[in-house]
Amino acid sequence: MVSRRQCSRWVLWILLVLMLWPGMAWAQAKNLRVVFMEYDPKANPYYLGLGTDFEKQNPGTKVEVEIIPWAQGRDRLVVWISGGQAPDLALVGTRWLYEFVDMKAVEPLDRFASKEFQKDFYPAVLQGGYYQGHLYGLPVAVSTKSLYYRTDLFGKAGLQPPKTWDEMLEAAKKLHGSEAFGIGIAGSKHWQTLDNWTMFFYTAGGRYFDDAGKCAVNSAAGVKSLQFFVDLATRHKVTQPGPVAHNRSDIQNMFAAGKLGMVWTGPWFFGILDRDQPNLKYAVARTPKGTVNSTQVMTDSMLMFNQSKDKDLAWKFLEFMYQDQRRLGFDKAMGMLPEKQAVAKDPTFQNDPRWRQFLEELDGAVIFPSSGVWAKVSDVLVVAIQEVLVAGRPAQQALDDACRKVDEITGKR
Amino acid sequence: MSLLRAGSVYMLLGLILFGLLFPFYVMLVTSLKPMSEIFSIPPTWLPRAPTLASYLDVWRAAPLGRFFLNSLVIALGAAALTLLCAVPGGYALARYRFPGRTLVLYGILVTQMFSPVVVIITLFKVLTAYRLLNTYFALIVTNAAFALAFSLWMLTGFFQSVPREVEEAGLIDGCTTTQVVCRILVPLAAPGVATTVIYTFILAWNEYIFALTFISSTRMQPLTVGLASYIGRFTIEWNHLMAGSLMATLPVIVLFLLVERHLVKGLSAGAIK
Amino acid sequence: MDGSRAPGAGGARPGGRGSVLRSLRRHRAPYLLLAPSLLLLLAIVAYPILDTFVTAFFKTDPAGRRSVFAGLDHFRGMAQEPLFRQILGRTFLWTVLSVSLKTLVGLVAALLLHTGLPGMHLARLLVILPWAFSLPIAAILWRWIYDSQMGMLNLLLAALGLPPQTWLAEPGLAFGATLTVSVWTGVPFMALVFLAGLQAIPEEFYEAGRIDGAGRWQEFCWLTMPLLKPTFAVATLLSAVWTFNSFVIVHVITGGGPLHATDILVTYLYKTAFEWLTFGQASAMALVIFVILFLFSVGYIRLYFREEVLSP
Repeated sequence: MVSRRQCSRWVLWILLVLMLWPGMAWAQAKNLRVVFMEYDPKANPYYLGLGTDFEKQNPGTKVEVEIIPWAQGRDRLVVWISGGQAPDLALVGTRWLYEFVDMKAVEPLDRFASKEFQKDFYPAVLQGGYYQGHLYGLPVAVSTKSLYYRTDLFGKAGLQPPKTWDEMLEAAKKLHGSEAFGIGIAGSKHWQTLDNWTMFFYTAGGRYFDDAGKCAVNSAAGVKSLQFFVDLATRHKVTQPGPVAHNRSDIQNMFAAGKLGMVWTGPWFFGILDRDQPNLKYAVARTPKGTVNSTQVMTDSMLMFNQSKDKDLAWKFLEFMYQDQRRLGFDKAMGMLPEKQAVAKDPTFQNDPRWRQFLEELDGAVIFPSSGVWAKVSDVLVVAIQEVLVAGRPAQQALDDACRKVDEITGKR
Repeated sequence: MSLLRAGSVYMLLGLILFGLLFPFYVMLVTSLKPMSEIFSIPPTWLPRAPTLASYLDVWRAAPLGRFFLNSLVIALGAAALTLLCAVPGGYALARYRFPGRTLVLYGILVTQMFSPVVVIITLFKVLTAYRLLNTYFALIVTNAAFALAFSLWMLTGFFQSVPREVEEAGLIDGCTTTQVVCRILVPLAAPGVATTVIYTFILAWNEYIFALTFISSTRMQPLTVGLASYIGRFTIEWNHLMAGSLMATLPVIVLFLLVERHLVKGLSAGAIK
Repeated sequence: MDGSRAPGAGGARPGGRGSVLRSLRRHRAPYLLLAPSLLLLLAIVAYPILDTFVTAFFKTDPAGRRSVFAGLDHFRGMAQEPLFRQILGRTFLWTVLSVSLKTLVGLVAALLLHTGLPGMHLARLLVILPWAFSLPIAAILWRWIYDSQMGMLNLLLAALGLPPQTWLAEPGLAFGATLTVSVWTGVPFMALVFLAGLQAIPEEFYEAGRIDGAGRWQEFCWLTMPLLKPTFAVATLLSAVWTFNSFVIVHVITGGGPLHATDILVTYLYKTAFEWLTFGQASAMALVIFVILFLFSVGYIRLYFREEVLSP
C-alpha cells in the first residue's frame, strides 16, 4: 500500500502540474477569430487556406480559424454570444442569423457593403441576408434541391424522369419492390422534415406566410401537398418503411446504398456519391411540378458579430473571402451553387449537367421566411406533419391547429 | 460450487454480457469496413474485406494524439482533485457530528439535480470571468465539482462501515489522524475509493457538453469533442468514428485494470486484531 | 456529544467572542476537512444554480439577459400546457422503469461476478465496457443499430427468425428503444457499485451465517441485502436523479419524437432554452425539475437512510 510520504508526494506533483498547466495552455490573443461550420472534413483545408492566405496578404494580422461541426454550431454560438465571447465572423445557417439579430448580437453590414459589391449577387439569394430592413448576412453555400433518380431502375421499368407529381407517383409505384423503395421521404423530429415537404408545398404554390404575415400553411395548397406527402407513405406505400424515424441524411444513405428509386436533395450529394458510390447509376431531374415549377433554395450566411473588436479588419476578411476565385474554390469543394452571377459562368457549373440542373432551378425557387422565431414555428409544423403521418390526423385539422399556434408565436393572432 | 450452479452463473452472465456488448461488436465490425460497405442494406455481419485503414486514417485526419493527451490530463486531474476533496470530506461526514452536517449532505445532492443544459450558460460566464476558457483547469474543476456528490456520498458510506475500533487501535498505536486515514482507513475502504476513482475518471473522460462549450481551440479539445467532428452535416464517417471511439476506450480499460484489484480486496479483519 | 474527535483539536477556549465563533472553533476539524469540497462546489456550481433560480422569475431576451420581472408567469404557463403535463408523466415513467431495470440487472450482474468463478476478472472488465464510451457516441451508435434499414438489430432479429421493426418510427417502440439504451448505459455503474458493496462485506459474516445453518436465499435476504442497503440506497438515489435529467440519449436518438413520444422534461427544457431561446421559461422548468427531485430525495432519504448516513 502507498505510504504516507509517497501519498503526499504524488499529491504535490499533481497540484503542481495543475497549477502550471493553465498558464502554459492559454492561447495567444488573436486579431481575428473566424468560425466556420464544417460541411465535409475533406474540404477543411479550404477554410484553413483562407486564413493563411489572408495573413500573407496582410502581414501583421493573425487569423484564428475555428471549424465546428454543424450539429454543435448553433448551441456553441448561443453560449458564446450570451457569455460575451462571440467570434468576429461566423458562417451560420441563415435561420440562425435572424435569431442572432434578435439577440442584438449582429453588426449590420450596410455601411460596408457597397452597391457595387451587392450587385454581383443573385438578388433572390442576397435577399435572404436582409432582415428588418438591414443587410446582416452575406450569402454563402447556396443550394437548391432537385430529384435524384436511378437511371438503371427507370430504364428497366421503361420510365421517363417524372415531370409532375402524378408521374412521380406512377414511377414510385412501378419501382417500389424488393430491390428498392419507390421514393425516400424524411419524417423525423427535425427541420429537414419540413424542408422535405416543401418539395410538394412550394410546387403547389404554397407559402408559409401571407402578405399580412399570418400563417398560410393551412391553405388549399398546404393541405393538398401535405396529404400527398403523407399518402406516399401511408396510402400508396411507396416510401421506405417508418419514414418518421428518418432525416435527410438517412434517406441519402439509403439512396447511396441503392435502396431508393428517388430522393430529393441538394447538390452536395452528388459529390458524396461520386466519392463513395462511383458505380451507382443516377441522374438529376427537375423538381416535379404540382401546379407550378418551384423548389426550395437554401443559403447559409457569413455574419459579423458586434462584439468584434476590429470590424474594419473583419470586413476586409469578408471582402477577401468573396473574391470570385475564392468563391469558386469554396463551391467546388463543398458542392454548393455560386452566389455570384459571375462565378456561375465558370465551366465547372456549365459543363456538368447535374450542376446545370441545380442552377436552373434557381428560377422560381423559394427561400424560407426570414423570421426570428422560425425555430419554434418549424417545430410546430413538424409536429403537425408527424400527426398526419403517424396518427393519421386529417391534414386540414392538423394544419389549422398549427396555424393557430404559429400565429400566437409570431404575435399575429 | 455445484456444476449446475456454475453453469447457470455463466449462462446468465453470458446473457447479460451479450446485451451489453452487442453494440461493441457493431463498433468493431464497422471500424473494419470501408464506407461503401457500411451503408449496404441489409448490413453485413462481418466485413467482406476487413481493413485497418480507418485506424490509421483517424490518426492522420485529426490530431488524435493531442486529443488523447488532453483527455488524459483532464480526467486524471479531475480524479485527483476529487480524491483530494472527497477523502477528507468523506471522513468529516462519516466521523463527525457538527451543525450543518445534514445541510451539507443535502446540499451536495442538490448539485446533481441540475442538468448541464441548465447551468451551461452561467457556468460559461463564470469560467470566462475566471479567465479559464480554453484551459485544462476549466474542465478539471468542472468535472471534479460534478463528480463530488457521488464521491462524497460513496466515501462517507464506506468510511462509516469501517468500525471505529480500527481507527482507535491505530491512534493508540501512536499514529496521527492523517496517518490513520491514509494507512488504515483508505485501504479498508478501498473498494469505495477505487469506485470513486473510476467513476470520476470516466465521467471526465467521457464528458462532452462542458468540453464543447469551454474549449474552442482544436489543440485543447478532448477526445469526446474531437471524435464528434466525424458527425458531419451530410454524412457520418462511421468507420473513423468507430475506430476512434474504440481506441478512446483503451485508457479507461487500462485504468480499470490498474484499480481493479482494490475492488476485489476484501476487508482484512485482521486489522482489528 | 461534542463534535471534535481528533486529539488536540478544538479544546476548551476560555470565554469567547460569541457562540458562533466558539462553535466554529469546536467543530474546526470537520469544517476544515470539508473546506476544499465546499469551496469547489461554491465556486463552480453554486452561482449558476442561484442564477437559474432567479431567472425563473423573469422574462429574458433571446440572449438570456433578464428583462422584466414575470413573477409566476412561467410556472402558470407550464401548468396550463397539456403537453407539459404529458411530458412530466412520461418522465416519471421513464425514470422509474429505467432505474428499476438498471438496479435489477446491475445487482444480478454484481452477484454473479462476486461468485469468484474462473474468468470473473475478464467478465468484470467486459461489464464495464458500455460505460467506457462517451454518451453522444454511444447514443448515435444505438440510433444506427435501431435503424430499420441499415441497423444490426433488425439483422439480428432476422437471423433469429423474428420480424424486423421500425424501432424509432413507432411511438411505443421508440420509448422502449430509448429506455433500453438508458438501462444499457447504467448497468455497468450499478454493477460496479454493488460489487464494491458486496466486496466490503466481511467473509466472517457469511461464515457465521453458514454456521447458523442459513441457506443461500436466506443468506441473501437477511445478510447480503441489509448490508448492501447503504450502497443500494446511494446508488439508486443518485441514479434516479441522473436518469431524470438524462439528456443526451433521448436528444440524440429521437430528438423527443415521434410526436413527443420520447420527450422527457430535460429534452423539452433544452428545446425551450436553446432552440426557442426562451431562457426564462427554461429556468422555470429547471426549477420545477429541481423541486421534484429535491422532494423525492428528502422522502427517499427519510425512508431508507434512517439509521445509516444521516445520524450517528
